[in-house]
Amino acid sequence: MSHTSWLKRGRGYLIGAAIAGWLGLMASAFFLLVRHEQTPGSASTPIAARLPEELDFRPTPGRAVLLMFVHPRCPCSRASLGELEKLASRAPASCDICLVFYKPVQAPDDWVKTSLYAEAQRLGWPTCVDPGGVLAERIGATTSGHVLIYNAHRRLVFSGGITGSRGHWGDNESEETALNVLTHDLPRVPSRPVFGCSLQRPAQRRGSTENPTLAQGPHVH
Amino acid sequence: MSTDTSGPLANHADLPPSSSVDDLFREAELQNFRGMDNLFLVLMGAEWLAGIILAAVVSPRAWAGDTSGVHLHLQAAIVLGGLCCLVPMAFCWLRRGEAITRHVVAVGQMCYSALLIHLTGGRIETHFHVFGSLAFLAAYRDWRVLVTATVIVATDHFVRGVWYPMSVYGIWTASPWRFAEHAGWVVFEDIVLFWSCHVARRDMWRICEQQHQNRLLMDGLEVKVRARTAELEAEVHERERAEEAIRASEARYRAVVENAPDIIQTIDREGRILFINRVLPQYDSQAVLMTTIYDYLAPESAARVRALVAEVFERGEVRSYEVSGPGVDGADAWYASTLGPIKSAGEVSSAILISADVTARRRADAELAALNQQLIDTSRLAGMAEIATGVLHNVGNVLNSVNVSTTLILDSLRKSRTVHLTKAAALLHEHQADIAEFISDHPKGKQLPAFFQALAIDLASEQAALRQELQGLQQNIDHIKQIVAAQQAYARIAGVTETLGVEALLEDALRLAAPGLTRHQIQIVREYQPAPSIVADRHKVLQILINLINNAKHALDQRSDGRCLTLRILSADRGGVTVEVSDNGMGIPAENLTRIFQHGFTTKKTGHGFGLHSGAIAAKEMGGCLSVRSAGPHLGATFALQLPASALIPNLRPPALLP
Repeated sequence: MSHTSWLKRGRGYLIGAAIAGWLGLMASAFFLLVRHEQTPGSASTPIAARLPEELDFRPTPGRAVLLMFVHPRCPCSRASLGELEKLASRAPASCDICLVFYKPVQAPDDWVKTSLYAEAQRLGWPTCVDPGGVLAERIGATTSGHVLIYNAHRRLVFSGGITGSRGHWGDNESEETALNVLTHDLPRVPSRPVFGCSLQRPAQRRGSTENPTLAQGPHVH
Repeated sequence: MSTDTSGPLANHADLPPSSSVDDLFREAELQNFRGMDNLFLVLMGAEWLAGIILAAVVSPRAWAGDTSGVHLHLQAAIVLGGLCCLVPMAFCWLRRGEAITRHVVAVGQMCYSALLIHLTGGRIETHFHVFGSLAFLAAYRDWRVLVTATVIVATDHFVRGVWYPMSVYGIWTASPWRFAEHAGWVVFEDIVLFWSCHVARRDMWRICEQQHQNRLLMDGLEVKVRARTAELEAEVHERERAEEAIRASEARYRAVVENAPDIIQTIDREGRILFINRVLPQYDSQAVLMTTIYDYLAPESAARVRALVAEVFERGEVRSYEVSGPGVDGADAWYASTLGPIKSAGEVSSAILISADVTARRRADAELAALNQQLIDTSRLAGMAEIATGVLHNVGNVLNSVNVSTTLILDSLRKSRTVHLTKAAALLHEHQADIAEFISDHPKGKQLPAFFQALAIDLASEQAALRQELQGLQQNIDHIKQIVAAQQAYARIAGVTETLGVEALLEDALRLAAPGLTRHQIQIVREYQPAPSIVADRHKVLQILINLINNAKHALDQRSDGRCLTLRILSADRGGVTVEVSDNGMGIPAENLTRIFQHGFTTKKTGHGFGLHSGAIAAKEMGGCLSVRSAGPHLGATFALQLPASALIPNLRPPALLP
């Protein structure tokens, strides 16, 4: 075989190897992306079993209460709001909904007024701001999109996210579970994973304690 | 790697003329592949940037409380999107037009679709990216690319549909076989795209066929165009050369006309000067053009020239004339003019007049005429001198014979016995008284009768010899008279011809020259054939023959013995006669045979070179000729005089007298 043919064949192998490497890299990247999206937020913090009294929200007596903790700048929580809208439409008037938006302590008030906040306003749901994430920490919600459903007796019956993965829209098991809880008044169900940004600073997450005392109650807007 | 970025079918003109339709199609296909590679090079770059921008806008950062970092989606848009787009872009840039490139593009494009679908949480609207990408890939017109893309998208949907349906279908509970539905739609589009590829390739093939036909036509046309171009170039070249030749010819003719020593004019019917090559110094060239040629002539000359001009215009013929007119500085001059017609469409439109100044020639002609007259006079004198020379020569020849005759007569008289008669007479006178006794008794007296008888016999014999010599002398004197008369006739009158017997004429000539022949001990041989009489000038013929015999006698002087002179008379054609005089003497060299009849040529110490020359001229005047032949030196020579039956002499003026 001539020198030219060898070069040609070698170049073909090289191109084939490069393409194979390229495909492998893309598969690996997709894998990492999927793993990240399917990795829920931290769930190590215990959840308050009863609706905190210091919540500056007065639900309708006899009706269940649905709280969603939202980081106003979490891109993934848009899907959570979308699923919540769908859930509300599938179980109308089954509960009072309140969205608790995280705000850093030092941040101005309009820090929370993002597109998510505007969306919640558009949907007409009551919102309250949780400066420093104190209430969320008190209740045990550490991830944006975390939904807590308390029944008419103000006991916790559902805890977790209502999206299938990080930032993904669409029907999923968590949403179905929440819907069942609301529509069938089920007792407490196992917690569901929450996909979203953390409501705590990394150092705060590492130093979090069970049911920290509410230093300052949230207020409803 | 080719970097040609021109569109499909754009560069067919670069293909060799012998390209087939298949070659054209392959070239068009390659151009299309390259064009699509260029398109995807831009498109995928735009997609990558758009993905990054979209991620930066929608999910720029991931938050943890009040802290944030770059969102994974933005990282994925940069890194994973880059993997999906940059590698195919590199192939599009580095391996443009190759099959592997478009398959890599298909894989990258479908992976980017997968990424978009994934990042949008399986939004069904994002799936349109797949169908749009397939449509773009179909523009490659290569169904295999669609297969590759379909395999990638189907595999993605299958894998994610099984393990992560939320990311591809937007729902968590999708059936693993839902990928088949999506793949089915893709296959459905593929079928349409396959058909469109087929149609597009078929149309492209037809275009190539048409282009091939056009190419063949253009090739043929180009050949014709080239041939015609070559012809035109040759014509142009030829025309340029012709124009150059015309310009050169025009310049040459202009130079000829302008530098001609003659005055060249064109005139119209009225004699107006339309053109003139040059004018005399005292005239203005522009002013001359406003005049006629008659303005420069005397009235009588103008009338004559006017008539000639009218003839030229009416008859179209050339006329020449000489006329006097103004010359340089106003002096009179003579011009020799030629007037010719210039025709246009068969009609005489104008005339050309060429006038040469012949003043000097006319002056020279006059001088020449005077000189000619002088020459004629001189020639006449010279002719007279030549006549005298001829007369003296011929007379001299005769005088030789006269001298011989007179010598013989003197010898005869000196030896005469008349002296003894005187003595006898004195003796008788002495014995006058006794004459009878003296005669009868005296011893001397007794011898006187016998003496007188013998004396009478001797005197009779001597008288006969003297009479013969005196007759020859008289003939010679008559010949001298005839020579002088002939020469006088040459000078004034025509000669007299008579009927002559050639044999008698030859004998006369021989007799006239006989004393010399006898003295030189020359044997004479006569070879006479019967010959008719001829009509000729006796003395002219005789003069030629005597000259020939005398020349032969001189030629034989070189021999010590065996001298022989042969005389021949031969009949010739048309009643003519040839007389030959041959000798076995000194002969004639070949180089002299052609010169021997020239005037002044002679080999004799005392010769004048006139005899043979005048003889040849006389023979020619009589319509005959005089010729010679000789085998060479010491081998003798033969002169032949050919005479016609009637040797009439139309003009007896000798050539020497002619001007």
